[in-house]
Amino acid sequence: MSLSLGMKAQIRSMVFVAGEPIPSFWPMRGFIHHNPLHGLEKLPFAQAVCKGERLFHGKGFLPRSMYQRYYREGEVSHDALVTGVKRFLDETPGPEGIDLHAMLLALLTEVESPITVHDNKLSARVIAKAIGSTGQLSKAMLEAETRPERLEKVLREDLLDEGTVYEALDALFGTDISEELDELVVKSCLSFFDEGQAVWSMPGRGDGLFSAWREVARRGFGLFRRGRYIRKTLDAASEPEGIIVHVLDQLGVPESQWVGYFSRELSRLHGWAGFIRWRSGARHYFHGQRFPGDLVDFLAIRLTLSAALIHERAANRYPSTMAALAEFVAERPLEAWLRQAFYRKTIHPAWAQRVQQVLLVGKHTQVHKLAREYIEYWVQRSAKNQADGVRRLASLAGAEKALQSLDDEGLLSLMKSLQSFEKSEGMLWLEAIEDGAIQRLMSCLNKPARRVPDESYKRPFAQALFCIDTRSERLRRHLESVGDYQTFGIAGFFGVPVSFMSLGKGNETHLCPVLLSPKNLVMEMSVNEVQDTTALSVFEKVVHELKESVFAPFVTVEAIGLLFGFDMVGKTLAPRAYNRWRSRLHDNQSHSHTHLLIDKLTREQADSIIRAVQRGVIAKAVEHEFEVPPESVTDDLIRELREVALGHSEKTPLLQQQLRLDDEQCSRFIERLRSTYRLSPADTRSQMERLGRIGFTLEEQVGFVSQALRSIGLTRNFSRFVLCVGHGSQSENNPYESALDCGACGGNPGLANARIFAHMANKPAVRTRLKAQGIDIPDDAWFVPAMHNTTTDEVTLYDLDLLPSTHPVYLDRLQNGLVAACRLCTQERMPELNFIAAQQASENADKQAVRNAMDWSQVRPEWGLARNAYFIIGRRELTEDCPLNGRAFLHSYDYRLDRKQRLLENIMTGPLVVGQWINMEHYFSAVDNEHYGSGSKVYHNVAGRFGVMTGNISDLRTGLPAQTVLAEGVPYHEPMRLVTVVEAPLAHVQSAIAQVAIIRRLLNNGWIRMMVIDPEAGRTHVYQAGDWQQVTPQAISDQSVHKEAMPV
Amino acid sequence: MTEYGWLFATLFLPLFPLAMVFNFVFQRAHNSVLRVALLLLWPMVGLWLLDNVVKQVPQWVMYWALASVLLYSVRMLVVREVGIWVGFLATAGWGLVWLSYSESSSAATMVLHVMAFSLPLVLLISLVMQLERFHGSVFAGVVSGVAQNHPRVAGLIAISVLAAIGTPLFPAFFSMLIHVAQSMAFLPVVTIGIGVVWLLWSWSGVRLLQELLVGAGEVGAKQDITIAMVALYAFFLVLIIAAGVYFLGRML
Repeated sequence: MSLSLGMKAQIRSMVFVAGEPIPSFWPMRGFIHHNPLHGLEKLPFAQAVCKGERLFHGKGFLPRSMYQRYYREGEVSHDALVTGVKRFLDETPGPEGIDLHAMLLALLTEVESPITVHDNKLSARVIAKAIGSTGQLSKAMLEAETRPERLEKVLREDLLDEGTVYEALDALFGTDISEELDELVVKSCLSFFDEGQAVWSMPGRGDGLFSAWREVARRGFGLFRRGRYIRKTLDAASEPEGIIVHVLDQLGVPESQWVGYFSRELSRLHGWAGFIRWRSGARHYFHGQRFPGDLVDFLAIRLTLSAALIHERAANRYPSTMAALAEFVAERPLEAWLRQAFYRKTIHPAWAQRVQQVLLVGKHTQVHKLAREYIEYWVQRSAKNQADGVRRLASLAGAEKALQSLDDEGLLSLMKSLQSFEKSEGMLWLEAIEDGAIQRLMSCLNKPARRVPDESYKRPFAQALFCIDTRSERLRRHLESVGDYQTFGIAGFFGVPVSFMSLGKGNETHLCPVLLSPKNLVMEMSVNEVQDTTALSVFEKVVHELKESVFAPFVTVEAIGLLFGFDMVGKTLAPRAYNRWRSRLHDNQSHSHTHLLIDKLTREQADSIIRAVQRGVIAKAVEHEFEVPPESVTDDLIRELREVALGHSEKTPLLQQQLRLDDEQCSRFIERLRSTYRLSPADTRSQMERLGRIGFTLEEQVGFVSQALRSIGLTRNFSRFVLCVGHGSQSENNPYESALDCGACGGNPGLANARIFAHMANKPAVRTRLKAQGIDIPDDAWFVPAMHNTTTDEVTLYDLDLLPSTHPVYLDRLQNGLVAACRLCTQERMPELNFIAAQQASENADKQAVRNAMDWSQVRPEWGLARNAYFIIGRRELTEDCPLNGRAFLHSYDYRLDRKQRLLENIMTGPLVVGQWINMEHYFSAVDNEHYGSGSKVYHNVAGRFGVMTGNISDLRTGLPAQTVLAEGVPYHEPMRLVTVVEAPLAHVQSAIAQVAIIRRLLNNGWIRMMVIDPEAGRTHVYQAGDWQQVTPQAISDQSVHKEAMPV
Repeated sequence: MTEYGWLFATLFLPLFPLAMVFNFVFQRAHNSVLRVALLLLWPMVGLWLLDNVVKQVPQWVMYWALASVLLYSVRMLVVREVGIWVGFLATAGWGLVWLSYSESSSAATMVLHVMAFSLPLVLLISLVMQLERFHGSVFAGVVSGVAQNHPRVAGLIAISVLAAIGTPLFPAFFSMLIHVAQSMAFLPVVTIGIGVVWLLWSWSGVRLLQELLVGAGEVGAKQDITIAMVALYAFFLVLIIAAGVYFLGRML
């Protein structure tokens, strides 16, 4: 089969559309918090949750029992529930003659489990009948409910419209294809996408995912059993698009359903699909460029394997095309019903054995008879259970008599109301929790009148710029409490998007929110003297290679096994002492001084660097290729070889003469210099281009520093020390370590950004230009980069060697202040980690925190960003008296310095969106950890060095582990949407929102809540139901709001 | 009568096809006392027959017994109704007695072998009956997530299954080891057969536990036995271990 170009493009676009709801998944080296329903953000929150439930089978709200717990603990007010029920009844009035309001309130607060079932298998009418009758349902009612046409319709929607062919086969005939298919696809992906974990890699990966897999599938022993059929399918077309069309034709899937079919296929392994989706679009990703693969390849593999499995398990035995399955359901709806109940394990246990026996014997009449019996039993039982639930509810609400007096239509209306309410109650609870959180925040924030005017500030001893991260809030608060410190919140990349190449690494890391693409590259260079670390490095390399080798365990276990045992005992029994000892071994490396290439190179400088590098390469090449000592490689020889290699001259007399080579040997060597050592004109051009990316121009530096300082409102009154505090975490044996690093730095530690920003801000030329813009940084103000270790709360200062001679005398005071803040912070934090009362906090909490950072058995080194709830954009005075317990992202902002709202727009575009991703990641991981989170860390295995799987084979686990969001099985993170607070006049905020499409969409679709505190008018507004509504602290839930009808 | 007495004994130390009688009765007994009585007394009748009525057992009965044990062990792999699984395991476990039976076998030893299987199964079936009261039937897979909803019962079921399939320290382990040691002396083929049987039991036991205990569990179905009951079961388990080590362990 050969497809036209148009058809291929059509398939590609269909796959693109189908892949849109699949959330991208970034490699875990730089964990990116993201909304698992990011692809559905164009829908309102409640609708997206429903769609997510269909696609990913994940729940979007907590079970009612959990919300009831919040209610009992006072997190949800009774008034909020009353308001919610009232709002529901306004939109969906129930039957007359019964107090539905009381019933719904009783349902919310007193009934633990839902009383209705959210599927279309049982009609509301039959349940209403069951409420009205105390005995069995009438024969006529049962017959109506089990009509073949009705069953067929329900089954068609359930099995065929919403599922794949093999899922329908599994449900009807227990073929178990789905699980095996997933396993085979995961194995194929693991082989192809491996990034160095496997000792033997898949051949032909450079040709792309589908091509490489195709070659292996034709010959591979793993697929031997199905090999013939796979080969047959693969022979049908050479391109993945052709294979997709071929298989779908074979399965009889109509073209109009292809996009939906693709979506369902992709969502089965949405972790892998999300990774492939991200990877195929990441132009800077080294492995992606080297071994390309996209969702079309992935689908082609999946469909080929599914066709083979369907052929093996179902062909000639069961209907195995869409049409044949539809026909089977149409001809034998009762049998199909019984089968899906049994194979989907929803059958009542008491019937299971009998049904299994009858299905195994397979006599149609027996199956039909049993099916009718079972379905009637099931209808009776389900209707009775739900009717009993309604009666119990009525009794709780004191409405028994009213219930008895309802006629058939009244009961039907009641049942429909209950079904509809239970379907939508998640939103009601969520809004109630959020309203409570808003109330608590409002009562805690400083009112405009109470704020100390800026003018009264004297120059603080030190100022510190912290990341907006929720973990900075505690440290900021404690630092401010121990002395004369002023703190600010800014996105941890300090507004400088940069691609960073750290010392000894050959690849670039993007240190900025993933929404941005950095243009500038900064390289880290060592300024240390050459040190002899060879012995230790060689030893480490040998041990590492032995661990990786397949054969090593057979021959080396006796020799070095004890060494690993020693390591294990040390790490387990005395992690702090053992790690101190080990870190001493690495002293030389860890304390190396480095210099960052931050300034833009001139053309001459770039040319000179390239020339120097090329000279070095030529010298090494001659030494290596001809095995001559370094002293034999003269400068003249190097110059001659460079000129020839770059095509500036043709003859190499010195080479011939000094190394006694003939013409052919010389030209071979020159060719080798060009191809292997990349000394060609084209390579030189590309190196010049790359060098052109290094560093920032003076204008760029001034722009970044100015924007950062203005955005946080720090334009005057600079202290002697201005700390630029990046943050990162420290833990052992933790694949999720980068999830605890700085989200604004692309899931990396923020030190490099802090150093870059401080370097720029300390530069005299930058300061001169800033002064012209009205930002006068005095000469004695010095920006010091620092690193906040969020696991231990230690703050380490960097680049102290660059400190002016006037400053070291004050360092002691500064460091004492930081240590004191760190100790107070750990004393506040550790009880929450150890689940003890705050009063029991030990003075040694800082030591416990250090142990957590070094203990390889610790599954929860810190709580990270769990319990995040607020994003506050405003001056520190607004929050300084309010202990927010590490629950708020704090972005400093002074609207008075932002007349055109540009700075606010930037804050909303970058940091706020990152905050929303973090919030949604935590929300869904807490609500349904199994589907949207990544389950328990205990069962995790690292896959291919870029992700984790549960057990040895599973989908890539994409969300947060249970240990990050749950405590003893219940949410530690209180799942709610991010409450964003902006301190600025309402019109100012509205103008900014109008300019930022993404925020407009998030707000209108209810993915974030927003509150505006207008300091000039002294009013607070909350965005609710499409309007800005003025509120008072007590008024949010009881709706005593004054509508201003100012939609976003 | 005495010449064919062993044939009656195959009804009570059940071999296929006569084992169908025991399994039929066991499946239809929905009373826990009756089921416990069946597990304890049914094989005793067989042992009594062997001891008092049977004069001689033909050599080929051993192969029949091995085939029957293998058959029920394989069936244990596919059966998911736990009550039936218990019946099959009892059938297979008691059937092993035929492999080490000889005229010189002491009645006490035979009783120990039979009890090594019966006692853990008694514990298991009484726990399963607790679940049956709640779910109507315990069909693994359809009833799942027991560890979530009935954690104490789940823990005891796991230990009882391990005891019944001959995990070390439990009496069934010593009994199997004795069968292996004895058969190795005269017929290594039988030893291999016993090894395969043991493997099949472990496989099916683990499958059963996985389908029954692991999973999300039915919402709102939390119910469990009391701590006192757990202590009682634990006491019996310790007693069984001690008895196994003392009586069967020293035979090795």
